[in-house]
Amino acid sequence: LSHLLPVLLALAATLAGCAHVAPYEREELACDCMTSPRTGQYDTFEGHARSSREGASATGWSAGGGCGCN
Amino acid sequence: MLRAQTIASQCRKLATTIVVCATAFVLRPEPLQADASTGTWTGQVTAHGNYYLETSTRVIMPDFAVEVETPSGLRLGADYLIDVITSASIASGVTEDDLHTELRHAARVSVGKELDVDGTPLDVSAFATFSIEPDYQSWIFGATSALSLNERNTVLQLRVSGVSDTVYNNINPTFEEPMWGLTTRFGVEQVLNRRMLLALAYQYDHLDGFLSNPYRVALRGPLPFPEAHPEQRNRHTADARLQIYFPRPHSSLHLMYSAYLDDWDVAAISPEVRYFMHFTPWFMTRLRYRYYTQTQSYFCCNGDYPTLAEYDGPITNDPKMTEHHTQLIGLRMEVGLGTLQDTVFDFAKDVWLEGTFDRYLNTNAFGNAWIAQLGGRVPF
Repeated sequence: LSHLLPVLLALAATLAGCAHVAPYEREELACDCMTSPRTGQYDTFEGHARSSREGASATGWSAGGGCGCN
Repeated sequence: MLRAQTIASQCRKLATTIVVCATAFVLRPEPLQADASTGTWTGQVTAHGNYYLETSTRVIMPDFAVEVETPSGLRLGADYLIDVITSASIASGVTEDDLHTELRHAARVSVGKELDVDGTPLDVSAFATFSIEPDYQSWIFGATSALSLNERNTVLQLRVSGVSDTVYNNINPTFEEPMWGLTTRFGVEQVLNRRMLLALAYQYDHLDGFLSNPYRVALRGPLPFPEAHPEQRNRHTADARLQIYFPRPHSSLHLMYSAYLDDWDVAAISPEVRYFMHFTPWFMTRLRYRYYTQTQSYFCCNGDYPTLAEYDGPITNDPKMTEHHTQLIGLRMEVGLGTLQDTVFDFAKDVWLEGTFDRYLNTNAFGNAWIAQLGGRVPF
């Protein structure tokens, strides 16, 4: 449970600190550096490589058993 | 095994039904939207070369992808990749020095659209992935939805996907074992203020069937035995991501954290930080550091198994099942050719070139690795 503490703290921060932001105020949130839309294919490749080397990488995102991933 | 095959078959039917229904829902006839009058199709074509190198394994993987959005807002995607895996790895079961090269082909299609449900945006999509190599075949089906509330300040996300795999053995032609899995993920994205965004998610994975490596052996006393992992695995993952925008310099910081626990007694945490920076409108970089640490599974590892002949419990020699930690340090650069506008190279003004270089440090038997990608994209 202690490992979940940062997640719970983040949740508490959300509930405590969020403010309504109107659509026209969202220019900075729409920045490429916030949305990082173009890293998806690399993240899939890198995640697939890691899932065959780490025991806790989640499944369901990339197919195949390449290089003995099981 | 019969049970796993039956469940895998039912899983495939259910997944196909879900994807067909989701696709039919997305594609159902609708009145034209206001922006449909422009008739503009947008999208992009991407091509990359991916590279992975560690002591015993090298992977070269070109991939190609096309994404299109129609005037009515329908999103279509297709991509194809080929994995060229050259290995003498402990995972592949090769015990001599000969290199073994294997090809994996994978294709993925997706369809999605944002719908208007009584004034509330609901984005739905479905996807299917097929992957095949000489000793492994995999199907993944899935559907995602994102409900935007409160003028898009809050987004609720739900993803369900199923995987149905068949494991073969290049050495034993009669070997064929099924594996199926179900993944559900629920997430919340919340705008905190004009410059901060927080995302939280929980994911549950259930795996059933053959979860071992058909080539790997483990020692029980002096004798080698085929690896035998438990045939079920339940995995829980919780993660959080906080994104902060900085106007000067034009950049953002992403703080990420993931906690994991499963019923094989593997527990892991993984903090990560990413820093994006725009030096100019045509040059962006991303620096990244990720740390990962895990405990070992309850049935790990060599030397700890009873030598009794009647022992039929799980047995493994999988480095992933050991206690270890990894670190990943990475740099990504994106260069746009927009400065070529109104020159003789004007045709290339929309092209972006991308390069990613990661150093992966691993304390288990797989060792350290380099991961890289070079490529580009052309929006249209």
